[in-house]
Parts: sequence; structure tokens; C-alpha cells
Amino acid sequence: MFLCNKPIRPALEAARSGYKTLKFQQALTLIKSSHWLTPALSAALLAMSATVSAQSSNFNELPTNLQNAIKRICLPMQFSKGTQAYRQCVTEKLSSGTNIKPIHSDQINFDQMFALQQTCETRFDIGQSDYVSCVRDGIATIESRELSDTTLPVDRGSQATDGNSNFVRVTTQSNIIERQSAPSAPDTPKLAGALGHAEYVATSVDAANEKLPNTIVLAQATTPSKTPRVISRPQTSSNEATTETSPGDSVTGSSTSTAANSSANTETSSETNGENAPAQNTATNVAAQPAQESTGSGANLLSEKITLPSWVPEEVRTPLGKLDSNSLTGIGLVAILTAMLALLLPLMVGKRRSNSAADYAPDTAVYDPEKSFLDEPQHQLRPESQQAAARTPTHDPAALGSMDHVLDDETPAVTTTRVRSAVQPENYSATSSTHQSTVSDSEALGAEAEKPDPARQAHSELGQWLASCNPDLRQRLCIQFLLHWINFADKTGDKGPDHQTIQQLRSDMLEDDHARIKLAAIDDQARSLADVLGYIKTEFSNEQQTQILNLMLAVLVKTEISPIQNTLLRFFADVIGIGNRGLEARFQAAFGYELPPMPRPDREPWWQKQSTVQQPTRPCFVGEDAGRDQIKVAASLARNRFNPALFDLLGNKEQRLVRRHYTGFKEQLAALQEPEL
Amino acid sequence: MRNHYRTLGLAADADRQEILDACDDLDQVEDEEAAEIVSVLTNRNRRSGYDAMHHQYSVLGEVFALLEPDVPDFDDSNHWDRRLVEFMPDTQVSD
Repeated sequence: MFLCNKPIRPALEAARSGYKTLKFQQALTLIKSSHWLTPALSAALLAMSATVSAQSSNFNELPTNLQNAIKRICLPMQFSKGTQAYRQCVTEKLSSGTNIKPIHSDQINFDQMFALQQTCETRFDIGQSDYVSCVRDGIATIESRELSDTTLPVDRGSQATDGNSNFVRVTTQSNIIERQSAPSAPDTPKLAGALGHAEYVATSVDAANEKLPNTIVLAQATTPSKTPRVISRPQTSSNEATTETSPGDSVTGSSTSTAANSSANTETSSETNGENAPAQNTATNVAAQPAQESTGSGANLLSEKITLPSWVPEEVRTPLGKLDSNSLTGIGLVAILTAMLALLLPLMVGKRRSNSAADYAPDTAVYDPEKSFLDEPQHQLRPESQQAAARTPTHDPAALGSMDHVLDDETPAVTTTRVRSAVQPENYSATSSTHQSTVSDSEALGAEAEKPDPARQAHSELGQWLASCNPDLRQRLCIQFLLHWINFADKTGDKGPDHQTIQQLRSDMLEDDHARIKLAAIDDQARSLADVLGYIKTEFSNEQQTQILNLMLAVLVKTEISPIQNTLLRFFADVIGIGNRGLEARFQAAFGYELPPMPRPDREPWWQKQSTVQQPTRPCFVGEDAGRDQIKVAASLARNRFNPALFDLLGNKEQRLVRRHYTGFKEQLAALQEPEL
Repeated sequence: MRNHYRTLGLAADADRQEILDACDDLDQVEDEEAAEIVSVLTNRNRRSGYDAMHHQYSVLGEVFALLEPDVPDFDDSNHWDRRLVEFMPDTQVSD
């Protein structure tokens, strides 16, 4: 049934007739092309072919084509060295008859063979095994195209067996395959566009001790009517030399031109073609180049069939054909550069975004305090080695695939860093430990803090009492006072606390430090605040002062900053030295909108603006009708606002306060998200 | 911020009529400023907001005066010295 198909017929006929001159390579090619052939028949055919070299030692008894082969090898020697040399050559070839593979001249014309011999002669001495292998390789390549209608694997196993040298480069032009009428391969148009008008035959084999799996033979006609082909070979011997042929890119339609990068050998070949094949409309151009070992692993990038689209740049297309070490390195370099660019581009974009608060976009809010405030040297929180830990986690709303991810997130691990003295060396390095550490508030809050300056007089009862407190407690109480001060000022407005509340606090203050703080924040604001700010400035580091501001933003401001909060926070920001710029940048990052300008309730225009101008939607705000995108943005802003890295220099009590607020916010988001679940 | 009560010579708890009368008696205050004071202090909501801020400015004025020696690197990006000048203890009208 299938045995009668065309591809197998030549092989069967050859086997049946005992055709001794059937080359092993040709047989193998036929077998490979006849994929219907049974394994048993394949083995038989191969065995038969393998023995055809056991020829007679009588020259006249040799098949004609074998005689011609010997003549082609030895006749030039007669011309150059005389008859004796010719006879010696023939004798040697007969004595080593097993090494002489007959040339199947039925499918290769004189010009083709001559061109091959000329090419190989420039590389090797006539008669050497390398020379023979060289010629045979070229013949096999041409024959393989003769035998194939489409893509045909080119077997080079025998070549490898014979220990072929580091050479295969065969380029033939259209006249070689002009008589071929095989249909075109599906991807030949692409090849035509990519390779230009030239036949491109390239084979790659293993470099020395390096297995390169593929062989590519690309053939293309010089005229549009000719059929370019892709001939590929899946595997070659490890000892086989690197072969390459790629003048196609350089030959621009001229049938007699040679590759721009051809060696003098190529030029010789071209001249020879012109002199010895004048009858041909187009000369045969066989270019040879020294073999180049492929050392780059980039060869693995090559597939059996290489289809080069037209957009492939010359720098890439040419190396693919040449397959030398340099080109493979170039391919690898291109791949590496592309990968590096792909990695660096997001980083560059991210850096640009975080460099300025003006670039802030609510939907891509990433709170990166170090980068945002690096232009303020006094606010570089810690050395570079500490910044990575303090900066994490960063949150990108785009990465929040769903609110489930946000809501399911545990509060990021809080790191507790020992509080240092306000007087710190310039190369201060924070020592972080996990939140689960046994560092107590007292330990965390300024165990190393300096004693308050005795020269500084306390202005208030609170100040005097704080002076007698443990430094740890004093620092913690100072933070509590600031929170109560702003909270109280914002809630009570112009109305002071009622008398009953004050009396209750006075009774509690003796036993409750917290009550004392609250009372001072309510009843004796100015002088107590002056003392507290004095302690803040002298006993907290700059980083801690900044984190106190972060804390007030996180736990006091509820989506909308009040005029009182706006004013007092601006004052505090000036006190700690970061000014409006630092505050505004932090506010923008934490809430997603610009900090309103300094309130002016003493001015009529300010009041008109408050009543007539509709306030913009706050990205940090999530109402009951908030959409999914709004929730994502608000969640991201909240994660930025409550980022533990912003408070890691404060005590555990402050960090627990932040976590509590963050948990409350997440619960709010969960309640909004629930209907959609 | 302007200390309207100081300008009018009134206490912070002055009623509406006192404010209106004080505005009428102001000779050296321009009409525009007087109109602004009236619009702020005679409106209930505006006065509430102004009074709350007035209280805090009074606190800040006092703090600013007390804190100066302890704040060497004070970043006066809001020009507090000018904002608080009318709320400093030595210039503040006693209630």
C-alpha cells in the first residue's frame, strides 16, 4: 500500500537491483524520507548500502561514477605533478577504496561537481579524507534537494562517521536547482524576503566537543519563480565540524557575485566559475569559508526550520545563518539586553513615579517615603541597608487583583526598632527586630534616651511631671499628648471641656498617667504643648519625629482633614523641621489628594470657597456606593498610610494603635465588599 | 491669621451686637476689612470655625513664644512669626 508511494520507490528499486553504487548517504536519505518504510526493510537497505564500498581493486571494474570520482581527484595532480603522480593517486584511491564513496553523478552535473571540487580544493589537499568528505557533503546537500519535494532532512551521519573536518559551506545558485520543480515549502516566501535573491545553504553541526542539535539548510532560488527550500537536519555527530554558508545576505541578486565577507577562496571560486562554466547562464558560485566552531549555547535557539520574518534585523538574521561563535554570542547578547531592558523599564518608571509627589496617581499609589523625601537630607531615615526592610511592603493597586487579596492580608509584620537618643552619630544604623520580640515599651522607648536638659525650665505642671518620669515613659506620654491635643482641638472647637470632665480627669490623674495627659491637653494646652514639643525636639531623633507625624496622619485624619488639623499639623511639621513640603508629600501619599492650603477662617473668600466650591471626591474615602475601583484605591492608600515601616521607630504601643486603626479600616472595606461576594 | 477680636478690642465671647457696634466705631479700619470681620463674626457657623481657629492660634502664639529657644531647626515654611504676631502673649488682648 504505502510502499508504492513515490518517496520509497527509488530506494526499493535500488535495493532490488543491488545497485552497488548507491551511496550509503543517499540510501539513508531515502530511508529517512520514506517514513512509511518498515524498520526491517530499513535495516536491510542500510546493510546493503553499507557494503557497496567493498569494491574491486581494479580501476576498470569500478562503477563509472566511481571511476569518475577518482579521476576528478587525480587528474588535477596529473596536470600539476605529472603522470606519475596521477598513477600514484589512483593507486592510493584504489587501495583505500573503502574510503572512496562513489559520486552519484546522475543527479549532479559537471558544473556542480566542479564547483564543489574547486571549493573543497581551496580548503583541503586533494585526496585527503577531508577533501572527500567536503565534496560528498556538497553532493549530499544538492542531492537531498533533488530528492525532496518539501522539507527534507539531510543526513550527515556518514560524514560524521568518516570524521569530517571542520568544514561545510556550500552555496549554490539558482542554476543548480533550476531544473527542480518541486512545490515550495509553506514558509518559503518568508525566506525569500528574509534572505534576498540568493540561494542560501547553511548547515550547522556540532562544534568541537559541543553538540549543536540542528542543521539548517536553506535553499532559495535566485529568481522569484524558483522554489526556495528549507532543509533541516535534526541531529549531527559531535565530532562533525561547524558548517556554514551565508553569502545570501550579501549577494544581492547577482548570480555571479560573491559574499561580501567571503574570503579569497570565494573570490577564486567565482573567477573559476566564470572561466570554466561559460555556457551556464549563471555561474555556479561555491563559497567556502574556514570552519568556525560554535561555542555559544545560543545555537540551541535554532530550530530545525528557521523562518526568518522580514522584520528580523540584519544583525540577527545574518548570525542565524552563519552560526559562528561570534554570531551566537551576538544572539545571546541581544537576548540578554532585551531581558535587562524588560527588567529595568518598570524600575525606571517606578522610580520616576516615586521621585515626586506631583507624580502621584491615586490608582498607582505607592508610599515610598525614602524615595519621596530623599531630597531632604535631614529625613533620610536610615542607611541604605535598612531602607529595604523599612520600605516593605510596597503596595501597588494594580497588583491587587481583588479585594479579597487586600482584605485577607494580615497586617504586615511590624518591626520594632530600638529608640535611640536624639543625639545620634551620623552613621546611625537602626537595629530592627521582629514585633514578636520581647522588647518592651520601656525598652523600646528610649532606654538610651538622654536625660532632659536640667537647664530647660518646664513651663507647665505636665512638663515638670514629665521631667521626673522615666525617659521611656516620657517619650510615650509625649506622643499621647500630641494625639490628644490635636484630637481635642478638632472636636471641641471653641468650646472648652465641660467642668465635670475636667474634675473627673483631675481625680484620675494621680493614678492614671493617661488622665494626666488628657487633662493637660485640655486644660493647659499652650504651656503643656510647649514642654512636650521641647521634649520631642530634644529626646527624639529626626526619624522618630517624622514618624510621629506619620502616626498623627494615620490615626487622626479621617479621609477629610479638618482646618484645625491642617493648621496644627503644619505647625508640627515646621517644628520638626520638615516643613510644608514634607507634610504635603506625606499627606498626598497617604490620602491620595492634595493637602488643602492653610485655612484662613478669618477671611471672607475662604468661607465662600468652603460653601460654594464642591469638594472633590477623596480617593481615600469609601462610601456605601463605592465601586470596586474606588475600594481598591482606598485600600491601597490605607496600606500606604498604615505601613508599619512608617512607625517602626516608635514604641509598641503606637504600633498597636496603628494596627488597630488598620484593622478597623479593613473591616469597613470588608463590609463594603461583602455584597459582591 | 487676623485676630479680629483684637482688632475690635473685644473678648472672644463677645456677642453679635457687640461685634456690630465695635465695627461701627472702628475709625482706622478700612471698610473692606470691617465688612469682612462682620461677615465672619456675625455668621454663626463662620464664627464657630473662626473661634476654634482663634483659640488654637492663641495656643500656638504662646507656644511659639515659649518654644523658640528649644527649636533651633524650626522650619518656618508657614511664616508663623507673621501669622501669630497678633496672637503672641504680649500683644494679645486679654480676655
